[in-house]
Amino acid sequence: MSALRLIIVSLMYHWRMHLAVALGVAAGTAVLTGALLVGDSMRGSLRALALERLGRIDEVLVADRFFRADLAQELMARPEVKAHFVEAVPVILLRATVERPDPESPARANQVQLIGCPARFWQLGSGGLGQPVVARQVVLNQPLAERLGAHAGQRLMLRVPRVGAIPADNLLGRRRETVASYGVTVQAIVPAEGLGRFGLRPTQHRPLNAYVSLEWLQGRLKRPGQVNAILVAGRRPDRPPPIEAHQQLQAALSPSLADFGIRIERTQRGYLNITSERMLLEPETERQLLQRLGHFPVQPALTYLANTIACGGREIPYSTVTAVDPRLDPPLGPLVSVDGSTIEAIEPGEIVLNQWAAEDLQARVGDTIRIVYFEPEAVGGRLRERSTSFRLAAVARLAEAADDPEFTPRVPGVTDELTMRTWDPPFPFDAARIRDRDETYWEQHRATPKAFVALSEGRRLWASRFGQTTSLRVDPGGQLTVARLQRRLRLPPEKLGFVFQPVKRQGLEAAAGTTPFNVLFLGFSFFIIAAAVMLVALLFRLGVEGRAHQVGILMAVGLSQRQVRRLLVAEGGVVAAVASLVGTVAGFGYAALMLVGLRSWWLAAVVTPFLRLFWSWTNLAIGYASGLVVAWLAIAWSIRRIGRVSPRQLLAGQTTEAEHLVASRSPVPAIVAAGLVMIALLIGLGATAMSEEARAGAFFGSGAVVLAAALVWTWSRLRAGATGAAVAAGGANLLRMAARNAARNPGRSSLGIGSMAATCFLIMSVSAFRQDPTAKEPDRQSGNGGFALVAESAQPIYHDLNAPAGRRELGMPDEADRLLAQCRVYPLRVKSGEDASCLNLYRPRQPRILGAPADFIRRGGFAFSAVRTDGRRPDNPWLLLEEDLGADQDGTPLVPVIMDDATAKYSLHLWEGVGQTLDITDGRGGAIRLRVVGLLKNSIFQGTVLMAESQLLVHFPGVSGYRFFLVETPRAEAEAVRDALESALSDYGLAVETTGQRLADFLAVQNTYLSTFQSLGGLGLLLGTFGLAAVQLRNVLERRSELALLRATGFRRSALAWMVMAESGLLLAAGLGFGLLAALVAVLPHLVAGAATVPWLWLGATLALVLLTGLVAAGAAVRAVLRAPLLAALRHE
Amino acid sequence: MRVGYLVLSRHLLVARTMSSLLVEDVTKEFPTRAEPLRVLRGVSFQMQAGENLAIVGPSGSGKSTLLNIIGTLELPTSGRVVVDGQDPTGLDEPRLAAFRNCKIGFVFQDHHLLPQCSVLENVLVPAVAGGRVSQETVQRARRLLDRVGLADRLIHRPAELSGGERQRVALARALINQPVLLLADEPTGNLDRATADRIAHLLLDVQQDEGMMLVVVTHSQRLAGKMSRQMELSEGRLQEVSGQGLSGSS
Repeated sequence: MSALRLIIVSLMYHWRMHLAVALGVAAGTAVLTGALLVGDSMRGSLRALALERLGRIDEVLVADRFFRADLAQELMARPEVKAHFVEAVPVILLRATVERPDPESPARANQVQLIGCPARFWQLGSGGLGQPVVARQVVLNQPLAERLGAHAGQRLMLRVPRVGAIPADNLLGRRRETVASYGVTVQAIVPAEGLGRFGLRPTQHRPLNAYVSLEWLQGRLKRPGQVNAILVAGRRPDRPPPIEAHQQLQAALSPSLADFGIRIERTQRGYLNITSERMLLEPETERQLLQRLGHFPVQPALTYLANTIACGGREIPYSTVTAVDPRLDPPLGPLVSVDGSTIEAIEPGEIVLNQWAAEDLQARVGDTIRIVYFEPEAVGGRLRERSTSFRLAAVARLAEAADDPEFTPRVPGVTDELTMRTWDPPFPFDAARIRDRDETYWEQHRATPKAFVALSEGRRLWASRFGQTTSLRVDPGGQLTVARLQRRLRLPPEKLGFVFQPVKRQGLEAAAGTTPFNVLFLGFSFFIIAAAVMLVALLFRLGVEGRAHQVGILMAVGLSQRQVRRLLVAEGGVVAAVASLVGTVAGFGYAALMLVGLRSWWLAAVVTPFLRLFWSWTNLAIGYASGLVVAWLAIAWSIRRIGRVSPRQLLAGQTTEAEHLVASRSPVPAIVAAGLVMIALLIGLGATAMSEEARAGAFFGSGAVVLAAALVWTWSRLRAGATGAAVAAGGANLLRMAARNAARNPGRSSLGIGSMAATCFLIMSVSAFRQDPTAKEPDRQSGNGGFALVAESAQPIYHDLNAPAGRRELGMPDEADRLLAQCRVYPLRVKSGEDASCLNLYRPRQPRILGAPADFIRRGGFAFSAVRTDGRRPDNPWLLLEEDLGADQDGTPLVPVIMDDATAKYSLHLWEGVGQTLDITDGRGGAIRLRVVGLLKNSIFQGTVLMAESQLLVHFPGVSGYRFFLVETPRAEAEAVRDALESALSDYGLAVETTGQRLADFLAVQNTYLSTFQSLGGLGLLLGTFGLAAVQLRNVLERRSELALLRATGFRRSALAWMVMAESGLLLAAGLGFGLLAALVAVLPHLVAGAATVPWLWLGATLALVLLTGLVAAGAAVRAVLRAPLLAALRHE
Repeated sequence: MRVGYLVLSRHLLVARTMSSLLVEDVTKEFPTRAEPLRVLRGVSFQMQAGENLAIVGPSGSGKSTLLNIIGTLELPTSGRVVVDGQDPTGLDEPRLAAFRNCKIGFVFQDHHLLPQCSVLENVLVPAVAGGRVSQETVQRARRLLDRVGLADRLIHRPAELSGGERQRVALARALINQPVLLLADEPTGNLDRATADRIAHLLLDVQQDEGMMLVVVTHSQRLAGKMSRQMELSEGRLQEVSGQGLSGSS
């Protein structure tokens, strides 16, 4: 007989015990492995989704302007591109609103992704349409069709932004009628699969997509042959091309000047005029152009509109003024004075009028000339008029260089009008001011400037983020042609926003996810794992105790304690190894169950039911190894004391050292318990002065202390045997005896009660953290910042909702106007980006940014969890956004930002919070570094980053208008204001919700996690009751001779069974009762305050089920014991 | 208290003069892998109220088996046991438990006291099996403990008692329901000689006072010698050793 043989025969002989242990091990391993597989499934599903929505599309270029669709073809003609990619499809991507104009039940969908695509688009991936989209028709994806309740053949209204070249925030940008509406018919509805859920941003949400014919959309937008995006497809749908392919693609991109919206024209005066369709040359474009123009004589000019040029009591309406440093040589100069002298320079503070204007104003050199103008950029949709006075330095002849309408760039609706009175400018314009002589000048000289100022002076007054130059005037020097200059001026696309994004690579990287679901589900499953481990330890120990005399024999015949323990542990190890393998396989089942949960009961945690089961060998191996090690440790721990009992005792069936059941009446435990209750009371009292979140933690702590007090008290009562008389005159003596039996082993009973109570407490008291903010009043220092409503529009709004004029411009009806007059609206600019809230499971790279305007910053408010202090906490942390942080050591500009605590930590992984930085790409393709200066607590800004509006405009000059609105309104009016806003601004796709609802949407994830924790905790509690039953079985086995004695003295089996069941019931009830009591202490203040919601029905059912299962499990164990032969028990056999 | 107890005992003595025990042709076999092991081979005897009997014999002779059959803890293979005119063999488990509770008291070598209960509570335990515990029963328990010399140890736990004291508690427990038959299995087996003598005297005194039948199974000739009748069990057969009224033999 070898040790191996001994182990094998023991395994076979005690197969029943080992089977029970194996079930426990398998359960624990299944849960461990399953949790890891949930993590695999999350990553795998996100990855699958990323691949599915992109099909074969690897790279995408989305520009902030329209360019030639032919650029795609030109790109594919390059051999280095062909080497890696097979197709480049030009498309138009716009954000739109779609309405079903049903007079009875209209429906609207905002934030719809409108895709103007050629037929080739559908070949880029699966799930497409078998035919091209017909003109005037639209293809909807399923989610959009569901949202609208639309079907094929239905008439819909598409609301699409009018694509103007001039930014709307610019003086000459169009701010009215920025949305165009087109009637379309639904051609087909495609499922949200493959290209049916096409989208560039990584998100698991089902996007709302509408597909129209590219050609038709180009026609509607008056952009024939133009697009704003190119989709480049590779060969492999499941893998991005190498990074070199991306670099080669970017290098091969060669847009023309026209693609950048830049014109070069030879003027009548013979110079080459470089202008932009955006009116102002963007700063980077100007820099690049000037670099390439090298030694050519270049004259930058900035022409601006003066509402009035006045001198004394006379004035000229609506004239152009050019800021330019005069040149002496033709064709760029010279400006010649009426006295025939050349005007060599204009000093700051001086002005030169042309002869026509000077005569009109009867101005003389030295007179003060006042120029009235609008500020160059509209703020909140408002244009502010300013005036500046100049000294008239000279009067220029209206001839030579001064008589040049080309100083003024083309402005549709102005420069192309035949008369001034028919101007249709985007700024406030009073046609009545136009005199006949103004019309005559317009007829003869068009937009020729009537005044000139120094370039530096003009730029000081009229330059903006959009630029400081309206034209670069180049002297061709006789040999330079437009074509040659165009060739010379090839601009670097990456500097001007023409950057390919490796969307597939980025999508797959983002699929790593923000939330470690494996860790999350390991945490949620903690109680199940703990219960399984406890069960394994208890069952194995129970089995070993049943074999105590065998152990005694082994020791009696000379085996050492260590040898005996090794034999037993080896036996357990074999069981654990086999059972862990079974558990690993069963882990698929547990993971599948969790995924079913995440697709149904806990859907709010992942927003859409997209999860499928994925697995990896690595996690299977980790699951197996973890299960094995944990089970093996539990087994080793369970028998750690077996060798300490003497062989004689073991031979007698005794497995623990003799206990002396003498009642202890030490007052210490009672004093400790009383002290703990006092501490709990003090915490409770102190919590009333704490913040809301701290209070939740304090009450939780208070509950935990109450639980500890209850357990200490119970333990001391049990130790003192103070459970009342075991037998007394009267009835209910069996119950009395049961209570006394529970006190027989105070440590074990207290442990049983304690573990049940702690589990019960934890799964119930987390309800204290379940929040329902929907009914919360606006409070300036809370997560809603004192705002009742939050709104977002699909299209930018340029008008001031706080001003009657702005509301008029937006066409607000009287009732809406009256309501809004009582409100204060804070508009915020939006730089679109990825959703970095907990509602997006992908890891964001380029989060959405909100620009906080100055008045919002001054207003302050919101609750901060951390703020950059510099020694002293600022009174208004928002002011930190206005600090100039300069550039970092590597030259990257630093921008102060504030974001939500949860967004920083969980989505962007900025774990250190304040002071940490995040590099993102700015509006021109460069890098900027966001530095966190403040973290908001549970705010409505989850998922976004806030920077000062001024900073946003510097780094993202392409952002125009406002798309995010915070509304201060009395709560009673909130509903009415919401309806009024949504209805009045439906063209802009405005969606309004209460701040409470927005917070509730964010908190739904957290609350769902709590539910998951409670559900799985309940399952663990249920499993734990089997452990308690095992403890009970052990108790009963130890006392089987006593029970036999009771039978000998005339107790019926049923009476004894009842007594033992009552004992189990008392332990269970005490455990659940104490847990409940402590949980109530933790939750009650929240319940009273209405802040917490407790799923009473679920919790009640769980506790009842636990009680019932515990009793049934205990009953089954007890019945088995009571069946044991009476005499054998009496003889300790 | 002691006067009251004696008055009650005499009253019971009168009431129990008709009690008897009949053991008739009892055999007991245990199945083994080979042929059945026959432990008792047609054992018969009888006794009347107030009588006491010691059964002696070598280890493995079947003494305890016989005692357990008499105490209805075990069924005979054949034969019958009639206690107080009633054969409990055919009773179902609840009735059998009730029968044992009312008619029979046990004293084991291991006292089998409940360690979590006090002395008084241990004595009252058999009364719990019968349902409500009356105030009279509690008084009786106190009297019994007084009778066995433990009046001042009522609230003590078994762990706080000596071996002899524990056995005295076990004796009081056996008497609480006023059984007609007291069965003692090696009641002095774990005790020193002086304590064993005291327990033996107590057993006999109490048996006489209560007027019940007492059957003691023991190895101890010293204890057996104190009984009015002695029988020896050898090779499954019971043989009268001395004393009066020998009414059965193998």
